[in-house]
Amino acid sequence: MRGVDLHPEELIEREARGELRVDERQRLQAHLDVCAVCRFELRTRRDVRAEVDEAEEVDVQRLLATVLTPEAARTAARPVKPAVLRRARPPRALLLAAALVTIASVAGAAGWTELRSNLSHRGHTVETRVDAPRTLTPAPTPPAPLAPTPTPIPAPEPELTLAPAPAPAPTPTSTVTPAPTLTLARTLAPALAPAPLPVTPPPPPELGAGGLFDRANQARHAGDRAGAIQSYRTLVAQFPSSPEAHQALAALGKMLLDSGDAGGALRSFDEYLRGGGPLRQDVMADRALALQRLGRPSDEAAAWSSLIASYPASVHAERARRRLAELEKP
Amino acid sequence: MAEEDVRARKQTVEAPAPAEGLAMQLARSAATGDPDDTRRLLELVAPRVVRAVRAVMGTQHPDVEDAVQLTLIALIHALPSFRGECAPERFAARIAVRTAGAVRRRARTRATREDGSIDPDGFLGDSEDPGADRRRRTLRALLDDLPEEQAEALAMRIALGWSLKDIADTTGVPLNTVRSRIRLAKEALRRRIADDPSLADELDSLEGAP
Repeated sequence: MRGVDLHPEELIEREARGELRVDERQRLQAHLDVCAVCRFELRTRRDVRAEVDEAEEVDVQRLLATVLTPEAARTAARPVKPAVLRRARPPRALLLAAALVTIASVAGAAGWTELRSNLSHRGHTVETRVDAPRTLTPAPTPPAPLAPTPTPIPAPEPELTLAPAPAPAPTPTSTVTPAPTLTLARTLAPALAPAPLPVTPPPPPELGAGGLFDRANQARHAGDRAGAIQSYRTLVAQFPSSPEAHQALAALGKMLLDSGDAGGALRSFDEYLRGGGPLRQDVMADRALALQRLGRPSDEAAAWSSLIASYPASVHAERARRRLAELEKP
Repeated sequence: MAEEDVRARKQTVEAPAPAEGLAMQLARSAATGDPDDTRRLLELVAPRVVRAVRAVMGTQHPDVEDAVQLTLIALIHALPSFRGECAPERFAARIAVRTAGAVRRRARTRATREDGSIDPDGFLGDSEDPGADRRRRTLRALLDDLPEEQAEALAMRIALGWSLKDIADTTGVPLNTVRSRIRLAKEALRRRIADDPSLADELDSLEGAP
């Protein structure tokens, strides 16, 4: 191991806290002179912090509206490991078999058309790929009060300089008071109202991709939109590479669109279209609708045009042409 | 550096998590399924989750909001297994780091599979500091490629600015294990810098700054 591989991690931490003594600063400086990795670390810490500080605020309540559902409240009590900390993966054969079943389930339940003709071309790669528009820019977030930000971070230094010896600092005091947000939260939409805890035993804690997909579909059929959205999101989180998760993106987008979250719908549709699939033309049509509701006429026109170019005989084509004509009116 | 800046930085790093006692109480209650406290807990940790996800993914990544939502969902599911070894905010941030990394890797894989010319990191818009953009992209690309444990440790270290002890406490591994993961990750970073002469030159230009 060489000298530069022994990175002075503690000195870097003390530098970040502004606690370096003169001799420590000299030692760190000597290391930085020969270690590009630590120069990169110190500079990139500031770069990332500056980027995050400059980002627009996020409407936390809107985020919670799609997360904190009655379904979430019910599942919260289950002894389930976090999705991101688990690596369980069902056998590939089961996933493929489940996909065949669930593709039809999604399409039928969502009321989409021409699935049969598309299924005849299944295999995802048989479809004619054209220049489908890929809106990767996030939907604009309406300004809204953000819940208290816990850690204000000072602006980054313009140069990679070490902090001087620390000056006596006052005892930090918390400036965050969550009470206003909590009060506001209790007045939110009925869909977010806490559900009574179940008195019956919860469902099996370990659901595979197929199980989650079935649960989502059942919730949707039962009219539990929030529960369905929750389950679809859980599916995507726990089994992101599964065929069910891919199909769930289409269904999730449709449900978000129907529930008024056009931005979330657009992201789901874009994600689905990136992977392709038999529902592509239907998703393209719904994507155009999402853009319409987001008030993005030029993107919407491009979406309809792309749909017509890709599927000129689609049942959506006539609607697309009508909408394009409307958009062209002065 | 101005004295107040030093003081502010000290506050930023050392200030205890706001209302940490409250957060722990809420976490315990939420773990039992209390929906009201679950909501309050999520409201409390959501800003930190947003910051962590943005730090790992980049603020302009198209899937940031999805990753935040997935993190909060995963947090709800993880609460029953949370034993209070660290502050709930840090527990949530750890889930955020892992979720954001997974979402990034998935987006990258799909984009590459569909069209090799598409790079989700390419949608960053114009920056006033191309050098900063380049360093952030280098870091995130490295996180995509590192083994999961190393990526998690390096993300917490550089993107979140955590101390080694913070990382050890939050991930539940010995401090020396964290050191080892960081060392290995930095070795990978060193190779990446060496393989990119222009980045190496750029970093060399910072040499005299401190």
